[in-house]
This record gives sequence, C-alpha cells and structure tokens, in this order.
Amino acid sequence: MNPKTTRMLAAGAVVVVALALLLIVRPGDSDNGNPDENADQGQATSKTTGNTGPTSAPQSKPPQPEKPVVPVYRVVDGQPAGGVQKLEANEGDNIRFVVKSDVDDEVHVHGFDVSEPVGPGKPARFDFKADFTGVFEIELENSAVPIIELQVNP
Amino acid sequence: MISLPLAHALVSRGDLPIPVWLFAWGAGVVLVVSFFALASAWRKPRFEDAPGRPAATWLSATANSSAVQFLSGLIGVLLLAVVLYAGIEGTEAADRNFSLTFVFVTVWLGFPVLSVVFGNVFAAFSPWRAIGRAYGWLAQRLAPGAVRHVEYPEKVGRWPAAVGLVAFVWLEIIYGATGAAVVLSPEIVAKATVIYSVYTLVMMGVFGVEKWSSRGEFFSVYFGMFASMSSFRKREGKLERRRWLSGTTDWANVPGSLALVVSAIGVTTFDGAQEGALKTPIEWTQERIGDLGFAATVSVRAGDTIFLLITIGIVALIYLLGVKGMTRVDAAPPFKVLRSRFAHTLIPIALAYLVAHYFSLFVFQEQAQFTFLLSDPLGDGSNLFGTATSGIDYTLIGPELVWYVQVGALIAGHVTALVLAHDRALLIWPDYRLATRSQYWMLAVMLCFTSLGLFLLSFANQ
Repeated sequence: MNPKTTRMLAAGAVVVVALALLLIVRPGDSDNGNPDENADQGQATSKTTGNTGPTSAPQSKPPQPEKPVVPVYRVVDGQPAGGVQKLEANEGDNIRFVVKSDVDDEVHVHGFDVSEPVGPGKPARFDFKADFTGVFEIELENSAVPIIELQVNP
Repeated sequence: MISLPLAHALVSRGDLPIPVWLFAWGAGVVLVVSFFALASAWRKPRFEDAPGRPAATWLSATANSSAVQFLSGLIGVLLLAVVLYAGIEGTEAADRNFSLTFVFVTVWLGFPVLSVVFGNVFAAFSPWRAIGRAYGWLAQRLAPGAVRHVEYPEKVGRWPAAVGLVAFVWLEIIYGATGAAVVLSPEIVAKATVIYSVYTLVMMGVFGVEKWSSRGEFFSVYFGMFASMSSFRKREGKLERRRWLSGTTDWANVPGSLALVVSAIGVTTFDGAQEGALKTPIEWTQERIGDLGFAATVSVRAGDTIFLLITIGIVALIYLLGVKGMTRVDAAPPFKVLRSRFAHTLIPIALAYLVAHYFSLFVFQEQAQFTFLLSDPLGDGSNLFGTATSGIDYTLIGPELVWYVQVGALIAGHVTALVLAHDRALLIWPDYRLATRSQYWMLAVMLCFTSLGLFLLSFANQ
C-alpha cells in the first residue's frame, strides 16, 4: 500500500469510530429530559396555586410525597451551613426558597436581581419566576458571601 | 425580562455547561477534521511571506490622515479620563460604575474581535500612544533633536507585555474575586489605571512611543497579536491587504512572544476552570494557607495566584512537549528554534478560548455599557442620554446559541491552528512527508487544547 492510501484508510477508520461514538453517546442526551426533571417542573408550577404555609403543607398530607417542600438554607456565623449549596430549576419555574440567618444582612439573587432582608428570627422568603437560563450566585449582599448557586436549565 | 442590577459583582450570570451530546459532536468533528487535515493537506506553504497589496487609496488616505489620527487619539484620551473620573468619583458598586465594564469588557474583550477583523485599530485609539505622540510632536517643535531614546533591549522582547497581561487579569479575577468578600472597587481600577499610565508614559519616554507600544504596553501588544490574523496591515504609512492569517507568520519573531500567547491562553483557562474543574483543589489550597495563620483574603488570593501560575505552566508544558516531540523528526532544527517558530500557531487557540469563555458576558455586559452605564456613568442617578433606566435583557441570547458559539469557536480555532502549524512545518521540512510526520505532534498539542476547552465548557459546577 502506498502511504496516501494508508492515510486515507486511517482517516476513514477515525470517521467510523467517531460516528459510532456519537451514536453511543446520543441516547444519553440530556435534552431528552429525564423523568425527574419533568416531575420537578410539575411541582414547581403547582406550588403557585397553594396558599397554605409551605412548611405545613407536607405535614398535613403525608401520603403525598410529591407535594413541594420549600428548601430552607441556613447561614451560621455569616457563612452558609455546609458550604455553598446548589439549587437547580428549569426555565419558567417558580423558584421558591427560604434563607435563615443568624446575622443581619440582605439576600441577593444575581441576574434576577431580587433581594430580601434577612436576620435572626426573620427569614428571607423568595418566590420569583425563572424567565431565563444560566448560573447565578445568591449571596449575602453586605458581606458579599455567596450562599447558594442557582442553576436554571432550559 | 429587564432588570436593573443592584449588586457588586460584574458577572451576574454564568453560562450553563454544554450538554453531553454537544460535547460529543464537538469532539467528533474535531477528530474527523484533524485527520482529514493530515491526510489531504497541501504541500507548499500558503501563508508564509504572502505579499501584501495596497488597500483602496481612499481607505488608506482616510485611515492615515492627521484628522482621523488626531480624533481617534483624542477619543482614547477622553475615554481614559472618563474611566479615571468615574472610578474615583463614581459609585463603589462595581456593576453600576462605567469604569469596570468599560475596561474589563468593552476594551479588553472588544478590541481582540475588532483587531481580528480590521487590524491594529487599537494603535489609533491608545490614549498613551496619543499622549506620547503629542508630547513628541511638541518637543520636536520646541527643541528639535532634543528627544533621544535609549535603545530597547531586544532580548527582553515582549516579556514586559506578558507580565503586564498576567498582572491585569490577576487584578480582575483574583484581586477582585467575589469569593470571600473581596471585591474589585472602581476606585482601585482608577488607581491602577493612574499607576499604569504613568509607568507607560515613562517607558515611552525612555524607549520611544512606537517601540514601547510594540513590546511593553500590554494592551497594544495583546491586541496587536490578534491583529496579526487580520488581512489589513499598515506598512510604510500605507494600508495593505494581505492573505488572512498570513500576518501571524512573522509575529513570533520577537523574543517573549511565546510567553505572551501562552499567558493569554493560560489566564482564560484559569478563569474558566476556577469556578468549575479547579474549584475543589483551589479551595483546599486556600484552606491550607489559611491554616498557616494568614487572613482569609490573603489565603484566597494566594491560592488563586498559585493555581493561575500552575495553569499557565500547564499550557506552556503542553506546547513545549509537542515541540520536543517534533525535534525527533529527521532534519529537525534544535528545540530552541522550533519553540519560537511554532508559537504563532497558538494565536487562534487564544482567540477561540476568549470567544468561548466570554461571548455571553460580552453580549450581556455591552447592553449595560450602552444603556445605563453610558447615561449614568457614576451611578449617581443622572440620565445623560435617557437610557439610564434600561437594563440587561438576559433573554436576548438563549443557552443553545451560547453553546453553539462556544463549541464553534473551539473547532474553528483548532482548525486554524492546524492550518498554520502545517504551513510552518512545510517551510521547515521541505520534504512534505517529514513535515506531515512532525505535525502528528502539533495535532496532539491542538487536540489537548481543544479537548481541554470543551472539558471546561462542559464541567458542571459540583
């Protein structure tokens, strides 16, 4: 075989391998969406209808584990308990969470630019719509300490 | 949704990691393209010593007219003054002060793109070059022949620019990191600008305006590196057009050029990795430094600095290993020669990294620049042009577009780098079979950079 043929064969082999790889990886495609994500979305939208206190809802109806639980994040000594926490949501969801803090400050969600004051005995409650995607920092405004990383997926 | 920012940090929104399927497609395309490049490449250099032909007379005359030169220089000086004034007098909220977005986004990310398309436009707008030239002109009038310059030590080459580039990025993303209550304030930017301006003007006085602009003034040198890709160049006072990319071939003849392009890739890599791939080791290191009894701010900055330097070192190592491999090909020049002769092939990689990491930031932050930052540069509630109440529309570009631009930039950079490397190899090894053999090594280098880039983009923050 002359060198040119060898090279063309090698190139052809690489194409075949690459295409095979693509076919193998494609089914794991995150775009297809796994059932968990869809369930989350359903929860998030259903939450807007309920006017009952978010913490009392799951207790009153224990047989329904799908009922939304509003996540609570704690700030101890001005630092997030257990390090920066991660919060994931999908575009269009209503994002709801509570921050409890033992120091006075203001909780600020970057990008969406909503803030709530926080302090001992007065938790900051958030409820806003995620209109766009991205990764956003949620921080204590005055001390500039990040506490939550919010990821809004398409 | 339009929202007005309230917070300190400049970057309010981070990019989502690219999805697995796009990662696979990107990697697949890169592999296929690479092997076809090796299999069916040309046998005579196409970009080396490409001749330039004069650009349209009106264009050349306009670009070189004293009026245009004076006006663009004046604009540069005025904008420098605005940066200083807003930095000192304006709000300390970084994202509502004109200075930070203007310096770190509009200029720093805008000029590379402008330079690739139109050539070395920063030369016209550089405030320091304008001041230096005005001073030189005046001195020549008042005391002809009195201005004498020290000869620039050519061995030092572009090293001062490489150091300046790393220092600038250090100021932006390490000194000003938002991690543990460390925030880059507009006032610090203004002070740094004063220090840098004085330093630059002194150096221009010592070595000459043009010499220092092409060697030590890192804005000029860094933007000039990207301008070498463009098809426009200025030679002997005339505007010339030449084959696209051909200007890169003699760019790295000056010592220190490799250091500059490696630093450019390294700092972008670090910025992409610090919040993702390198987050855990950086935090671990910062805690260990904190254990030694240093204050939180010091340990955060020290840890970041160590990893910035390590990242630049790794980028250099990848390239140098490839060069080392090439020396094993028959009739190869020595390592030291090859090292600088392939340095220009990294310029497209540097550009690709820049686009991939900062495309969305640029699009979003420029909305701020041309709305509320323009109308209210100090953040004191003024409304000069009636746009102070507009904000950033984060729905302007969706995540898919950002992903396609990111992966597209990496693939385009990869291909361009391979093209330049192949072309250079043909010059060094006139026997094209040896040239092709040498390019297995450069292919490995470029694959490393491209897959590293894809990896950084796909890394979901844990």
